[in-house]
Amino acid sequence: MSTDAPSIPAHIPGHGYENFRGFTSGKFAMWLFLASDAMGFMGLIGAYMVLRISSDNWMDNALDPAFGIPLTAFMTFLLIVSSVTMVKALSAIQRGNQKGLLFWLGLTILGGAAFLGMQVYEWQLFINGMIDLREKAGLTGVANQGMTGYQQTFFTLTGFHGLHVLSGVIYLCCIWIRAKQGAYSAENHSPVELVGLFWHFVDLVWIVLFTILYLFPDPNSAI
Amino acid sequence: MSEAHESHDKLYYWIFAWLTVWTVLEIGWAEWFHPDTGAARWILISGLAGMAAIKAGLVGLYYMHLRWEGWLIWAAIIFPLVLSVVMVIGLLPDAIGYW
Repeated sequence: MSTDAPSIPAHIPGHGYENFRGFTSGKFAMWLFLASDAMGFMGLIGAYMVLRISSDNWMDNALDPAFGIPLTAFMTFLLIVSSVTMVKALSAIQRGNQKGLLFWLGLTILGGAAFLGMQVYEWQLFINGMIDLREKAGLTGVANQGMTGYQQTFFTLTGFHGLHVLSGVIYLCCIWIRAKQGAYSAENHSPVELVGLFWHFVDLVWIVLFTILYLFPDPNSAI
Repeated sequence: MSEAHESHDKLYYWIFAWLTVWTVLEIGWAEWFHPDTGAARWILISGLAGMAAIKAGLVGLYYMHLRWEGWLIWAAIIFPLVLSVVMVIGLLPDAIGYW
């Protein structure tokens, strides 16, 4: 009987402690989680499409404030930048550079926090715009309660995504604290890769939301 | 190993540049082909959807390293995504039937 080492290597240099087909069970689980999370987003986006297409008057200028495209475009840019800082963090620890990991992870956290701050500001602008328009329209009492479909879907989609960004920032902070304690090295950095996958997913979803929510035109303004 | 990481770093910056360019193009496209300008709606929507798909693909393939993953990871994400698309297509008759 042969005593040779197994044909599948227990560790592939530079990629953490892979142990099955080049990836960890944690990485596979993260991909399954992201796939199920994507299905959740697709459900919301599908509902949004149906509501939007079937609406007689999707965006009512008398009640629905317009989006601030420059602000949201900057928010998109910010998330893209934070994706770069995230891959730089992973790249740093793959080379065993713990200071680099802390620096790039810190920038990623700052990017995520800035995105959240801007989203709060955008919501504030939107809500103030809603209140102003309602007052101009003279809506009072019961008529002044509730939201249009445009407003409901805006808050649902951006809110659900915003919760993901918040979760991502908290997750990144946990990884940063562990990194500060010296928990990661060139040979052991799988948790950094996993948080990176989650963070890039949040960026990817925003790319889709930015297009369908902010850039697709009002279906009723069709020529 | 270090050289390999160096080349990956360059690739990451290139992807970042492309993502920025596509975002600017997307915003420009939304302005140039807005229905108020008389442009056909399908040009606007297909262009925007195509550019968003390219950007999402770049993030998935390069930043999430899908380009270098094996079939098992691909299988884990393809099936749920196909189901999601089927679900959205299944919802469309509700909207289209309204028209």
